[in-house]
Amino acid sequence: MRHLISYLLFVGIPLAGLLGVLRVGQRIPAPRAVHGAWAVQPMAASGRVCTRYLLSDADSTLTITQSGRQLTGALGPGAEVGLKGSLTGDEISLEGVIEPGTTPRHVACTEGDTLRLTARVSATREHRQLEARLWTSACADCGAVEFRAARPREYHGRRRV
Amino acid sequence: MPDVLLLLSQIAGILVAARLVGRAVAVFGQPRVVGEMLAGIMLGPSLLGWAAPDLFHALFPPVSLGFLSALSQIGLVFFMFLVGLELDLKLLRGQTRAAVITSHASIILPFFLGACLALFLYPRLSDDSVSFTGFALFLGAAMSVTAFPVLARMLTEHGMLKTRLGSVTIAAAAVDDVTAWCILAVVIVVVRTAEAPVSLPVMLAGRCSMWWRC
Repeated sequence: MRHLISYLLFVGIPLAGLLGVLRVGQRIPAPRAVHGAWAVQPMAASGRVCTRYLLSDADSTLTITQSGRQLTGALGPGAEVGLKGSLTGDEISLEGVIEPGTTPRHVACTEGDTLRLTARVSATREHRQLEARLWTSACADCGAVEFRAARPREYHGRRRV
Repeated sequence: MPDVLLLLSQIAGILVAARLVGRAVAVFGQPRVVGEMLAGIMLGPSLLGWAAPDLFHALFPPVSLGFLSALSQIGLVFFMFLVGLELDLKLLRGQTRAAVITSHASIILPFFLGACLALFLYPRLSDDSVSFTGFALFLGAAMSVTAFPVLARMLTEHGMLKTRLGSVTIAAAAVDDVTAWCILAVVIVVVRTAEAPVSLPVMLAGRCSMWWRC
C-alpha cells in the first residue's frame, strides 16, 4: 500500500501533469516555417543593376535558416550577401551588408551598402510562397525589385499530431 | 589505417589532461569524472580549437576521430563490464519496488518539467513544421535520460557500488536507460506519424507486432 501511494504520488501526478501540458500545448501557435532554399522569380526588370543581378540568375536562391522567429539567410547566385532578420506573423524582414569583393565589378554593387528585403509568406497546406521586395540603402530613388520565391515540395505540408 | 604516432599522441594528451583536471576538481570535493569531462571540453573546439586552432587541427584532425571514437567505445564496454562484475544482485533483494519507483519517478518528473519548458520554448525556437507534441516529447526525453556510465563511475569512485544504496541506484539507472530508449522509440514513432498516412495506434500496433515476432 505504501509503495502504491508513493507510485501514485511520484509517478501518477507528474504523468497526469504531462498529459495536461501536451493538451494545453496544442493551442500554442508556432511561427511559420520559412526555412530552406527558395527559388527566386523576379516579377519585373526594375531596380538597380546590383539588386537585379542578385535575383536574375537562373540559379539565384534565397536560402533561409530559421530558429523560431530569428532568421539568417543568403541571397544571390553564389549566396553572395549574408542576411539577418526576423519573422513577425507572415512578414519576413531581412537585411545584410554587401561585403567587399563578394559581387562582380560589372554589377556595380556598392561595398558596405545595406541590402534590405521584406517579404510576405502566403501559405496553403500544399504550397508556400513569398512575395518580396528588395532594395539597397545607397539608392533609395532607384526603386525596389519585386520578386516571388517558392520552395520545393519536400518542405511543405506536414500534418500536426 | 590509423596514424599510430598521432593516435598515441592523442591518447597521451587526453590521459594527461584528464588526470590533471580530475585531480584539480577532486581538491574541491567533486568527482574526478566531472574533471575528466571538463578536460574533454578543454581539449575540444570550445577551448583548444578557439585558443590554438593550428595545434587543435594538428592533434585532432577530423579523419583521426573515428579511431579515437572506436577506442572510447571499447573502453566504455570494458568499464560497464567491470561495473556488472562488481554488482551484487543479492543487495537488491527486497528493494525491487523501491528501485522501480525511484527509476520511474526519476524519468517522469524531468520529462514533465521538460514538457513544461516546451510551453515556453515552442513558440520561440520551433516552427509550424514541427508539432507541439513532437517538440515537447523530444525535450522531455532529452531531460529524462540518465548518464549511466557517469553515475556508475561516481559510485565506483566513492566505493558505493557494493553498498545497498549503490546497488539500488545502479539498478534504477539501468531501468532508466532501458526505459529512455523505449521512450525515444515511441517519440520517434509519434513524430513520424505526423508525416505518415497511417494513424498513431496503427503504427504502434505494427511496431509491437514486429518486436513480438523478433
